[in-house]
Amino acid sequence: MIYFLKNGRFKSVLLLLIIVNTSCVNFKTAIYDQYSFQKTVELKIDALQLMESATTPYKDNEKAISHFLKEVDKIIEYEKYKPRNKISYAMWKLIKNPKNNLLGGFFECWKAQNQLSEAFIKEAKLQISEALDMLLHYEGKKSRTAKANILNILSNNQ
Amino acid sequence: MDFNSILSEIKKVVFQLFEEQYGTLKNTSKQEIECFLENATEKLKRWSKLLKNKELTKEEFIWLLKSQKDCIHLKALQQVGVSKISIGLFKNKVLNTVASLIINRIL
Repeated sequence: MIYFLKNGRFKSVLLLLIIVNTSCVNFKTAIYDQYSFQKTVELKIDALQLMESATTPYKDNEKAISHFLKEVDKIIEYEKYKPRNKISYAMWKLIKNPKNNLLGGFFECWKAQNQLSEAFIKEAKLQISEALDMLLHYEGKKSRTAKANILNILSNNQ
Repeated sequence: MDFNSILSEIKKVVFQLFEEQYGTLKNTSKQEIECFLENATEKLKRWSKLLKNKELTKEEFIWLLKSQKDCIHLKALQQVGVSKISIGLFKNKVLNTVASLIINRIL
């Protein structure tokens, strides 16, 4: 064993194994994606703005709602095909699902009631804002995790 | 409206509900319930006040309560990951218990 430890070739193999290992850790979750982050910010602003119109009849806003939901579908499809991105994808699906009580559920509620009260809209906006913030924090965290892992790899290579 | 007494009644009834259903309440489950109630306390207080003042309907109140459950689900996804989450605890039974307790005490 001591012979192997003193052996230069063994040390090289060991170093290579450490690099491969840390590299694998780095790719367990998707890397930070500027497009995802920016698109989520845009959708959050659009969602909260659109929700404010819920004091007016649903029919009057149908076109804007349909356009907005298509944009949400696009980001969900984008997240779906990103490798190792199950969590962001699952979070978006939960937020959009009309059976749940977040973004998709709010539009269902609006459709069913035709008009919603100001007090309810205000509280629902807080809930949906919190949900979308969680997505943004999660995406932002990917950036920090990736940076930490890159620094880790660099220090292992020195 | 003494919201603190409503909150302690909710805790008592929800813990009882779980003990009846699952036998001894596990510490983790107890912590999850407490976490749910702690995170939602301010919101529950505000929503209860709006319900009492008839600014929210019963249905809107329940909708908001369910949205809180969904936020907790999101938080669990964010913190633990897809394969490890357990939100069975926040099934409709608990929500119905919390909602009916508050509605009965307020309206």
